Amino acid sequence: MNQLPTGMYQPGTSVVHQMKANIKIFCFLILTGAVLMAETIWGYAVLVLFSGCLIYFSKIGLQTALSSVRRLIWFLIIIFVMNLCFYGPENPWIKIGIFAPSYEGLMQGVHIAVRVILMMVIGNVLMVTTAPLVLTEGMETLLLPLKLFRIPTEQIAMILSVAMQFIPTLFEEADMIKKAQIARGARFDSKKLLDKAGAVMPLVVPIFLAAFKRADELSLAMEARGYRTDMARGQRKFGMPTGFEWLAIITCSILCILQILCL
Amino acid sequence: MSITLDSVFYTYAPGTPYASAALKNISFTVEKGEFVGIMGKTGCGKSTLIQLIAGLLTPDSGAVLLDGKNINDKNYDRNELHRKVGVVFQHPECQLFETTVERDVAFSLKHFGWSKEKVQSAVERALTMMGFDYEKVREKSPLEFSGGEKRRIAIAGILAAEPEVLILDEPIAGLDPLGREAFLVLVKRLNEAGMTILMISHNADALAEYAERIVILKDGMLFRDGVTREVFSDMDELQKNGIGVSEARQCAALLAERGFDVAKDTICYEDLLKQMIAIGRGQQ
Amino acid sequence: MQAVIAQHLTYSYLEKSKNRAIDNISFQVREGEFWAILGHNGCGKTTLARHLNALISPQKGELVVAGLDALANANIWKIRKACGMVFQNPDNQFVSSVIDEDLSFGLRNFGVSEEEIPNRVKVALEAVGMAGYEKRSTHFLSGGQKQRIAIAGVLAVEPDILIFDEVTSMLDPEGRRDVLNTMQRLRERGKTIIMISHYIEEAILADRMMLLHDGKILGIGTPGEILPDIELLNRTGLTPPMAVRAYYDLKAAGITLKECPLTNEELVEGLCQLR
Repeated sequence: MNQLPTGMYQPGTSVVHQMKANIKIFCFLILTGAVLMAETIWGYAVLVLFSGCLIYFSKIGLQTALSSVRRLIWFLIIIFVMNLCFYGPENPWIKIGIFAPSYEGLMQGVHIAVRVILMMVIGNVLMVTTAPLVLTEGMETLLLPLKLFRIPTEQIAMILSVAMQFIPTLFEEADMIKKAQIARGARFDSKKLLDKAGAVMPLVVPIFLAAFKRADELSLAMEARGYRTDMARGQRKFGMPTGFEWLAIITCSILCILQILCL
Repeated sequence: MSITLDSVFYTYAPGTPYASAALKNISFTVEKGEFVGIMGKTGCGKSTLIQLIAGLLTPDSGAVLLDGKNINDKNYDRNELHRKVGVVFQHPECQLFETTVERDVAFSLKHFGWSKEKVQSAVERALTMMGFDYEKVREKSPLEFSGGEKRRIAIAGILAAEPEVLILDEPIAGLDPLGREAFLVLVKRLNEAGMTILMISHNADALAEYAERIVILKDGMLFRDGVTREVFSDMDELQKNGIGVSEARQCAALLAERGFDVAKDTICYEDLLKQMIAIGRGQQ
Repeated sequence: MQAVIAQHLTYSYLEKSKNRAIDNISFQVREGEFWAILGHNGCGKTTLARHLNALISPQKGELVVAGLDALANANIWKIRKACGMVFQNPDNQFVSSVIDEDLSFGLRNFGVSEEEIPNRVKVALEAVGMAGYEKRSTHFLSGGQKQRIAIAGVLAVEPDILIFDEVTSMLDPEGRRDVLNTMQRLRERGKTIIMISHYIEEAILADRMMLLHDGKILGIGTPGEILPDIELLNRTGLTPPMAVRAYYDLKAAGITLKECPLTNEELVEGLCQLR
C-alpha cells in the first residue's frame, strides 16, 4: 500500500485540530449549506478562498486535502461531461446523435464539479483533523434533538465511531488479502468483464469474513469492558466555544448568509 | 531459481506524516535450495522485503532479479512469477474463500492450463502433505475447520502450484508447540527436496534449528547476512539491537560466563547437550 | 480470601451436546496469586477465561468471582468491573484510535465521573509504563505498546482480578517481554492475575499453573511440581522448557543434577554445583 486511505485521521496540533468536534461538525454543516447556495462566480471564489485558508490553518497539506478529489477524478469528469452534453438541449453548439453540448450545459457542469470538489475538500479537512471517536461524540451532541423521537442516538454514534476507527485497519487487511490472492495467481487487472466478475469473490469473501471476525472480537472486548446498550453512559461535555471557535462559527455563518443574500 | 536484490530502495506512503523509508539500499542473493531465515524487529521492513521479491510491490529504485531477469520489466511474465514464487502471508487462513477445500486448493492452478487429472493429483498431493485425508476433506467447506487446520489448508493451496521458491511470513506464530514442530519439519522436507525457503520469524530457536543462513534487517537496512552459526555467535551485539538468539545460544553464554569451555557457535540444543555432558563428566 | 472459586464447571457451546468445551473444572485462586493456564489450541482455556469475566454464564457447576456469585444475573456487571479481561489481538480491542479516548470508554461504561476520568487515565498509563501517551494514536504503536494500552484500558477501571487471554501470542519477542514485565509489575501491586498461554516459558513466572486438555484439568500445581513432569506435559500437547529437557537428557548420560531446573540459569547453576 503506497497511499494512505483517503480521509484517515492524522494527528496534529493546528488550530483546526484543536477545535471541538461538535463545533467543527456544525461549521461543516453551515459550509455545506453555503456551497449548495452558491450560484455566482464570486460566490465560488469566496468559498475556494475560504477552503484554501482552511487547508492552510489545518496544516494537513494540499496533497492530503485533495486526495479524495484525486481518487474520484473519473466520477467528476463523467458528471461534468454528462452535464455538458445533456443539460441544455434547446440551443446546443452542435448536435451529434444524442450528444448536445451547450453553454448552459458547460456552466452547469462547472457548477456541479466545483460544488462536489468543495464539499470533498471541506469534508476531508474535517475527517483528517478529527479523531473518529471525538467526531462521533460531536455528532452525538448534535443528534440530541432526535432523542425526543426515541431514536437511540448513542448507539448510532457508537456504531459510527467504531466503524470509522476500523477503516484503516480494514484497508490494510484488504490490501494484504489482495496481495495474497495475486500471489496465488488471481488477476485483478484483466480488461474482460467476465474475468473482473470472477475476480471479485476471492477478495470479497475473505474481506467480509475478516471484518466479521474483527467485529465479533471487538464486541466481546467491548462487553468485557462493561459496554451495555440498556444504560446511559457517561458523556463528554464539550463546554463553551473558545474565541477561535466563535470566530469559525461566525465566519462560516456569514459565508452562508452572504451566499443566500448577495452573491 | 536464484533471487537477487540489487540496491533496492522502497518508501511507504510518501508525502504524509506516515511516510517512512521502508527499505534502504538492500542487496543480497539467495541461491537455489537455500533455507534463509529473515529476522528483525516489527517495522524493520521484513514484510516489505518479501512483497518486493514476490513482485507485489515495485521498488522505487534498484532491481529484483529472478534467475538474472528483472521481475519488474514490462515483458516479464507475471504468471510465471506467481507460479514459481509461493507466498504464505501472516494468517494465511484469512485468504480462504471457495465453497470446498478442493476448489480452494486448486485456485492457483486455474491459470496453468493443466488437465483435470493433473490438477486433481496436485491438490491431493498438497493436502496429503499438509496432513489431511484428501477423500475426507475435499468436499467440505474450508470454513468448517479449526484455525490451525484452516492455516494448513491455505498452505496446501500454495504448495499445490509446486513453487520453486516458498516465502513464509511468521508461519508458526500462534501455533501451539506440536503444530509448530510439525510445520517446521514439513518445511525442512520441502527444502531438502530442492525448494528455496525464505522464512520470516521471531522464533530464533526455530531458525537456529532449521535455517542455514540468516538475514537481519534493522531500520530498513541490511544489518547481518551470514551463516546461522556465525550470525548467532555474536549474541551481545544482536541483543543490543533487539534481536533475540536461540535459547541454546543463551544457555551456552551463561555457561561461558561461569568459566566453562563452550563453543561460541553453539546454537542448537543437540550441540549444547553434547558440551554439557562433557562438562558434567569433567566435573564429576 | 479467594479471588475465584470454581466448582464442577461444565460448558458446551451446543446445549445437550456431549462435546464439552470445559468439563467438570474445579479450582480456587487466592487473592494476589499469579496463575498460568496452559493447553494447546482448542483445549477450553478461552472458554474458561470467559466464564471468569461473566462473558459466559455457567451452565453447570458453581462459580464465585471476587466474592460475587456468577450464577446471579444481577452480578454480571459487578463481575466485569471486578475482573478485567485483555484479549489476544490488540487491534480488536480499541474503540478509539486516540489513547485517552479509548481508556475513558470503560470508565464511562462503569459510571466513573467525568472529573475523575483524566486522573484515572493518567494513573493507568503510568502503571503500564506509557505515561504521557494520552493524546497519541494507537496506529503508531508497536504490538507490545498496543497491548499495554489495552491493559491500561482495563486497569483504569481498577479491577482486583486481571485475565490475560493469550495476550502475547501475536507479539514479537520484545513485545512479549514488555507485556510480561507489565504483568509482573501488576502482580507486585497485589492484583490477582490469571494468564492463559501456550508458551511454557511464560508459565515459569506463575505461582501456580493449570494444565487443560480437552476441557479437563490434567494437573494443577506450582511450576516446580508440574514442569518436570514431561509425561504430563506431553499428554497436554506441550513441550517442556529446555532446562527440563536437558535435566533428563543429562540424567540419561549418567549426570544427575541435584534438582530439576526450570530456567537456563538454574540449569547452569546445577552444573556448577556438580563440582
